[in-house]
Amino acid sequence: MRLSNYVSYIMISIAWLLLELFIAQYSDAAFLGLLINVASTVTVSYRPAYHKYLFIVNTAVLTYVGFTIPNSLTLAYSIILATSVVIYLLLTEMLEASAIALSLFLIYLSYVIERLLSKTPIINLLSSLVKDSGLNTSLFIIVFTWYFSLFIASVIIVLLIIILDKKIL
Amino acid sequence: MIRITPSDRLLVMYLVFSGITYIGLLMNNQFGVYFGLILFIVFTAYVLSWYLLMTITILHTQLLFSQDRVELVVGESSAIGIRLTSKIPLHPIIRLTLVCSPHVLIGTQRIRINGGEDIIRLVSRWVGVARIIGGIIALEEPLSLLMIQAMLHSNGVSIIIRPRSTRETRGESGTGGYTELGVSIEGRLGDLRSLIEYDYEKPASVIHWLTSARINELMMISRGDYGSCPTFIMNTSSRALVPRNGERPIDESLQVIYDSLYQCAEVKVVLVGRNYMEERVVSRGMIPFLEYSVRTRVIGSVGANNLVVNIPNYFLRYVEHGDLLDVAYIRSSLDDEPTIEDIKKAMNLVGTRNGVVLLGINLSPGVDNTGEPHETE
Repeated sequence: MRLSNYVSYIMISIAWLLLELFIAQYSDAAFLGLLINVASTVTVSYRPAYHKYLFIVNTAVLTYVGFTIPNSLTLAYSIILATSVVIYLLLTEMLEASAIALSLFLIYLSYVIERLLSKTPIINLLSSLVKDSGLNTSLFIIVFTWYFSLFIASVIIVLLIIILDKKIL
Repeated sequence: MIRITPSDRLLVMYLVFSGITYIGLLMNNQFGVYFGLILFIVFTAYVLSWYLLMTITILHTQLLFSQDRVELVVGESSAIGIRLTSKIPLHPIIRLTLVCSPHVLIGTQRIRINGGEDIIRLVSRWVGVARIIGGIIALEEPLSLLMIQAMLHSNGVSIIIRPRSTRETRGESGTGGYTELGVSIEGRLGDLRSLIEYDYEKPASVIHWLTSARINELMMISRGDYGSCPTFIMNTSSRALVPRNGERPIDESLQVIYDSLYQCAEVKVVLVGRNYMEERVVSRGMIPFLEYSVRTRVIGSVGANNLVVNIPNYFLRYVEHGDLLDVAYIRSSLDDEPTIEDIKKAMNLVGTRNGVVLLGINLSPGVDNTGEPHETE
């Protein structure tokens, strides 16, 4: 069932409103996000065609708000924000639902590869190299292992497509 | 047979996600790293999944037509049913461009895979036998991040395009009014010689119904040989096939021959080119096939540099040579005009100057290699 773009935006806007109200006690920037969210909701009621642009503006503001919240809330906030983005794109049919469903399997595959990579000795070597550079070592290792696992998953998928292409032809 | 084209939007998105991640890393901010990373992971997995699913869908997709033969008169249009079916139960919308001979104009159409039958309009512009050999499909991701193009082959559709029936529009009778386009020395129907038993290979128009009803057996008119029906000597060089302002000289020649077949069941046509001559006996139904044989002979003899095919270069290597000849046309005329010697040989073959019509032949001294239209005598 396809919801209209206006209804989809309003649903996401309400979810963001609740998120901003909760975050407001930890970050003053959330009030800015709240203000822009309310203004966007009013604007989209008069001009539903602008829903995409209002969505991008609000996502940018919420991203900025995310940089001001305490570390204890970052993971949950990141997941909720990313999920709201994906749900909105699904509801407005800007993402293919079948591809998102398959991507969950790919994400799990990448997770397994990331777990295996993080246990390899090369990661320890990398950590010791990064430690002296001034960057946060744990964050750097997370970025590195996930990027590398995605790269490996991408290579597997592309090879699979090439094999299928040649086999069927 | 599949080509993928990422868009600039994909690059911008990944720059934004990576930018958020690295800003988080440099500022030692957990949110930046987590959020940028989650978006990067989700969108990469999504793009790869979409690519995989659509590739598998397209590889199992078949292009089917509701009929394998269409008959048209030049300048008219017709409709044909088309279906895209795939074993994979997805229903993406694609843009389909049929690959066909240049005789037919077909627009690009948006069709859903596994979405039932759609109708496509064909508009004919030249006489001959055209073919639809397949189609190029283009599938775009909803966020315009990627585009997949593929070529689908099909069993093909043959489109037979006949010349117009000008008898009623011109209002002329007798010799059919072809004198505007051909040199006519003399032409009339062959003399009646006798009534003989009907030969089933001959067209039904030669049956003498009155006599057949009288004796209860099919009898046909046997006339004097083709010396009384006009004989055509037709130029079949590349110049006849090169379109000018959307029209080809060979179409005019074929129209003249077609008009003459109102009086004669069959006519003799001598095809001439540079060091080439061939004699044919042609009836009305064979006109499109005459064009086909002339075209394929000329196209088969020219190099690839002079051919134009409405297929992207990437897919050309997947098209068989025979199919390529059916859909190619000539970019510019070559040095293959018949010389005076070739025409003299053709006249000698005919054996008489009575009732001979020259079509598309330049009788001026020398041969014009520029392909500029001269008086068609």
